[in-house]
Amino acid sequence: MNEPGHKTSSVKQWYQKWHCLFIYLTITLIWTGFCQSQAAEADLTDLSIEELMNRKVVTASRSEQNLSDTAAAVFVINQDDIRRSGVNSIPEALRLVPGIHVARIDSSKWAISARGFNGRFANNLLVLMDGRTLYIPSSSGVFWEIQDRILADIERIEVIRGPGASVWGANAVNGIINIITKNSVDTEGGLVSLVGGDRSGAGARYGWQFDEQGFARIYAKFFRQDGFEDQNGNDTEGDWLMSRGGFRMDWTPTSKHSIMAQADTYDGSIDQNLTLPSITSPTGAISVLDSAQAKGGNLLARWEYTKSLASRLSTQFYYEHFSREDRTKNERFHIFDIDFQHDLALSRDNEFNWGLEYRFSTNHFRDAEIVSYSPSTQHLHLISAFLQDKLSFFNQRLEFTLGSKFEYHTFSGFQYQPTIRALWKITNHQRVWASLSRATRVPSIGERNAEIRFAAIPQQQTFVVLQGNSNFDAETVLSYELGYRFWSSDLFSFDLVAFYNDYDDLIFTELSEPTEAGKFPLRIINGEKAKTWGVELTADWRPLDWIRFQAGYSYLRMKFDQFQDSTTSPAAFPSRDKRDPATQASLRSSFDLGSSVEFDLWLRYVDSIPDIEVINAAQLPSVDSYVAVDIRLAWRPHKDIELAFVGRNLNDPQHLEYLSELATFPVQIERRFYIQGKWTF
Amino acid sequence: MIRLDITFVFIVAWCFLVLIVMPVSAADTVIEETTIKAIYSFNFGKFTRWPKSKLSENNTSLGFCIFGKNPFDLSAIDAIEGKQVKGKTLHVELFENGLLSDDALPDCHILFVSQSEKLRLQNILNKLRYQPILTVSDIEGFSGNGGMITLIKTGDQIHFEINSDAVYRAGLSISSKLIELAKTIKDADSAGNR
Repeated sequence: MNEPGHKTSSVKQWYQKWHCLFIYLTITLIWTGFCQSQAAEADLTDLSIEELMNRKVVTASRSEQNLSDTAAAVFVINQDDIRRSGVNSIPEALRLVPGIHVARIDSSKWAISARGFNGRFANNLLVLMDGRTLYIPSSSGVFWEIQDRILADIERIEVIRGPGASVWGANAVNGIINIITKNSVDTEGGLVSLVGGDRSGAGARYGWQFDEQGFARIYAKFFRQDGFEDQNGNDTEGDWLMSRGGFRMDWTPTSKHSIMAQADTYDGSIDQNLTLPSITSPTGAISVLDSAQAKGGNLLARWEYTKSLASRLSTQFYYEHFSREDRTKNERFHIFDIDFQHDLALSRDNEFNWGLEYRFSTNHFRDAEIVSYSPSTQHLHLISAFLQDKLSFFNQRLEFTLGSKFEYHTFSGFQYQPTIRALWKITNHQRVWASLSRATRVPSIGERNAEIRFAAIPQQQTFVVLQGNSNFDAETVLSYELGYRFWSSDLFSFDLVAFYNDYDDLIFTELSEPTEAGKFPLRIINGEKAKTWGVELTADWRPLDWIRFQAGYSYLRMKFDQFQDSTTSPAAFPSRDKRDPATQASLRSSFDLGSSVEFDLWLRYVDSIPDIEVINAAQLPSVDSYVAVDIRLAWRPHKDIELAFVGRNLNDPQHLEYLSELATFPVQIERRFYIQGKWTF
Repeated sequence: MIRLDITFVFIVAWCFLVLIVMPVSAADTVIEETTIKAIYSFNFGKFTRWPKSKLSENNTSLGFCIFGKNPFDLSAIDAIEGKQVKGKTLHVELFENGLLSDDALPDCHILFVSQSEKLRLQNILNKLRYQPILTVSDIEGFSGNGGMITLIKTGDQIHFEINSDAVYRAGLSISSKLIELAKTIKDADSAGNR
C-alpha cells in the first residue's frame, strides 16, 4: 500500500511543482506586500491631544525582525509565534525559523542545524537558554528531548544563522539559538496548560510578587508522548515520559542591583528503537527496543549592576548536572561556569563590551554497547575572553562592529575567533550588512577519547570501530555573509542573506592498524575541507490587522574535499556531506476571525536528502522530499481560557524526515491531531 | 491521491485569500496602541518649554530618545521622525540595550522609557532627576516614582498623568492646557524612592 514505484515518482513530480509554487507564492507575497505598503497613511501627528484621548486603540503583536539593526542573519520567534504555530516543544518551534533544518528522527529525537552539517549529534550550533549553554561535552551536541519549559513562559527564541563566535565562543560555527524565558515580572498569577492527543500532558505555573521589586514563579510539567510507526507500519513503542519542574526569581533589591536566579530539574524515560551492530546476526545488525533514562538539573544566578546609565556589569554563575544511560552510551557530567561581562557606552558612537568566562566540566562514562571512553573520566577547562567594539559613523548611518574571542580549551589549546561586521542604514527602511568571521569548533570528548563500535562484519567476527584521536584538533570556518533588509511600515518586510563558508580541518576518518583481534579500526582525523554557500529569504506581510503571511525560503550547497581517500575501508563512517536538504520553504498564514477565534495554516516544504549516508545503507529507505501541512484553530470562550485544535502533517499519513547517523532505525513521522487548553488566573 | 487533493485545496484556498485580501487592505483606520503612544509623546513636546541651555537657536533638531527595548512599531517611528516640533526637526534615537552615554544626554529632549527597563526604573529616574529632559513612559507608577508623564490605558483609550513636581524640579515647564487634560499627581512618598 505504501509505494508502488510509479506513484512515488508522480508524488515527486508534484513536489517539484510544489517547490515552484512556493517560490511563486513567496514572490507574489513580496510584490503585493511591496505595492500595498506604498499606500500612504494619513498623518497622525496632526491629531490634537483631545483627539488622541478619544481615539480607540488596538494592541497588535508585532514582528520583532522588522526593527533589527543587527549586522547578522537574525530571526526572532516570539511568544505569539510559538502559540500560533500550535507546537508542543522547543525543537518543533524552531521549524518557524527559515534556514534552520529541523528533522524529527523519531518521537523523541531531533536533528537540528543551520547551513549544513546536520545530525542527531549536530555540533555546529551553539544553543543557550537564559545564558546557559545547552551543550553535551561528550558529543558537543544538544539533546533536544531534555530541553523544555512551559511554552507560554518563553518570551522569545532568537536565532542567528552564521558564526557568532566572537562573543559567544566555540561551537557558534553555523549559528546560535538563544532561548529566553520570561522575566517573572511578566508571569504573575497562575497558568494551567493541558494537551491531549499523541502527546498528553499538563503543565502548571504560578507567579507572585514577594517584594516591591521582586517577582518569582514556580512551574511543573509532565507529558507522555506516543511512539510513531516504523517502515512497515508497526508501532515502534517509542513512548516518551518526561517530568520537570523549576523556579525563576527576578529581584531588584536596590535601584542599582538586580538579581535573577533560576533552577530546573527533570527526569525522563525515553523508549527508543536502535539498530546495534552484531557479529552474531548474519546481517551484522540487530534491532532492539531500548529505554533511555535521562535526568538532570541546573541552577543559574545572575547579578547585574548598573553603574551608571552608560555602564552595566553582570556576573553569572551556573551549575548543571546531567546523566543519560542507554545501550548506545552511558554518561554523566557536572558543569560549573562563571561568566563576567561589562557593557559600556563610551560615547554615543562607541559602544564597548568585554567579558571573561571560565568553565569546568567533569565527565564520567561507563562502557556501553556502542560507545566506550578511555579514560572513563575527563576533566575539561575552558578559559575565554572577548572584546567587542561598535563604532558609528555619519550620524549613525554606518556601523562597524569589531571583535574577537580568545579562548583556551583543554583539547584545542589557544584559539582566536575574530569578526568584523558592517551595517549601512541606506534609508530608514533599508539596511545592508556584511560580515567576515572566523570561528572554531573545539573537539568533543568523543572525538578524542571514544571508541564507537558502529558496524559489524559477522563473516570475520569483527566490529568496525571508530577511534577517537588525541591529536584531533579544532575545526575552523571562515565565513562571508551579505544581507539586505527592507521594510515598508509594519505591513511588510523582507530579509535576504547570502553566505559563503570555507571550512577546514573537518572531521574525517582514516584506516588505522588493527591492534587487537575482532576490531577493525578507523581513526578520527582532521581530514576534510568543505565549502558551503546558499541564500536565505524571509518575508512578512500583514495586509490587514487580522491577517498575516510569513514566508521563508532557503537554499544550501555543500562541496567537500578530502585530503585522503578511505576507499579501502570495509564500512565507512557516515560522511557529513549528505545530511542536509538543499531547499526548504515555508509559508504561514494567520487569521484572526473576530476577537475570539484564530486560524493558522502552515505549509512547509523540505527537499529530499538523496543518498543520506548511514551505516548499513543498503537496508535503509531514502529520505524523500515532503510537504507538511499544519493547521490550528483556536477559540477563546473567555479571556482567560484558550482552546486549540491542532492538526499536523495533514498532507500525508506519514513520512520519513531523517536517519540518525548512529544506531539508525527509520521511524515515520505521522499525521497527528491534538487539543491544547490553557487557563490563566 | 487523497493526500494531493487536500494540499491542493489548501493552496487554492490560500490563493483566494490573497485575492480577497489585496483590494481591501488599504483601508486601515484603527490606531495601534504603541503608535498612539508615540504620537502622544511627540505631542507632549509641543507643550513643553525647555531651558535655553537645553534647547536654543543652536539646536537644529529635537531628540526623541527611546531608552530600552524599542516598543514602537515602524509606522509609529515613521509618523514622528523628521516632524517639526517647536521649529526643530524631531529625530528619533534608539538606546535599545539600555545604555546611554553622557555625551548622548544633551541631545535627548524627550526620553521614552521602555517597559524593558521596569526593574531598573528607580535608578534611571534618580540619574535623570535634575536633567532638563521630558521623561515619558507607559510603565505603571512611572510618574509616582519621579517620572514626568505616564501613559495609561483606560479601557480602549490611552490617557495620561503628569507629575508637575518632577517637571518643575528638572527645570522644564509644561503648558497649563496640557495639565488641564491630564490627571495630575504629586511626588509620591513611595517606599523604594531612595
